[in-house]
Amino acid sequence: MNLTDLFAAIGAALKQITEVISGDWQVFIGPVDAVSPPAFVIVGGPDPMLTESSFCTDAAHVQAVAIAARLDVEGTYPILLAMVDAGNDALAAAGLRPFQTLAPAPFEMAQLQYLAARLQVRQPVARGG
Amino acid sequence: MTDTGPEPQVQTPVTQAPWVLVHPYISIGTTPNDVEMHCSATNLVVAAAQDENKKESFCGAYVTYKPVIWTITATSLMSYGTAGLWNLLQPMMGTVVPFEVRPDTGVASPTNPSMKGTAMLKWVDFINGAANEISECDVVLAVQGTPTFATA
Repeated sequence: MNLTDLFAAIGAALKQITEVISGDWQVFIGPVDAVSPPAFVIVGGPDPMLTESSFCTDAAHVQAVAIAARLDVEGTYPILLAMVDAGNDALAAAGLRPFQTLAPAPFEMAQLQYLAARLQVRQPVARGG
Repeated sequence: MTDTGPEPQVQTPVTQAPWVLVHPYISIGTTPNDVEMHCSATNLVVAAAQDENKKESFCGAYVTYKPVIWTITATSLMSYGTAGLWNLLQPMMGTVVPFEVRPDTGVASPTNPSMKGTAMLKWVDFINGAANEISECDVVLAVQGTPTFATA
């Protein structure tokens, strides 16, 4: 599995969530120009995105950002918490369990601020050999 | 007596750049079914140990060393499956097997010397990891007798 495969695998796992299948939530692999929350956006990081692990593998840090809504805390916490639970469950079921989830915080994309929680995944990816 | 100046230098200076361990070669088992396992390794140590013999007399202390004992330790990330570390090594654990180690996967040469011999492959931890972490274990080869070093 390389880094591209890992992003795709995380996206595929999140697309198994009921709300994603029904079209209520969206999944994007990489940042997009415009997003209509709720949505998961998969991005690299936190830094360093890749660190040496073994002679042929790197440890990749990738995060699925659960974006509940534009920055409006009072109205969006229930959806955000549901996304965090569903995202963690879906990733764990796919063998990609996040090692930690950061508390809700502003997340900027395309010059707009969203309320988001970061589900952080650490997985080995192939490197040379 | 005539001063002839400084004596000519006859030493061979070490000028080779230090070696960075990027892709070492670690082969265990009998060719062609040997297992090349460097990809799972995070650290490789080929250690030489020699016990000390110390004798003290009225004229001073004298130290000699017993024969060298080589031990190869590859700290490795555990994996399972037909191409996994456990499945490939397990049939050889607890047995004496041929091995070869080189600083790089390239062919043996003066800049990539080869160490060959036979070694007892110690049993490896089956699982050794925390929740949501990769199991890390030591693959230990106790070299039997004297290994051979070659540059070709």
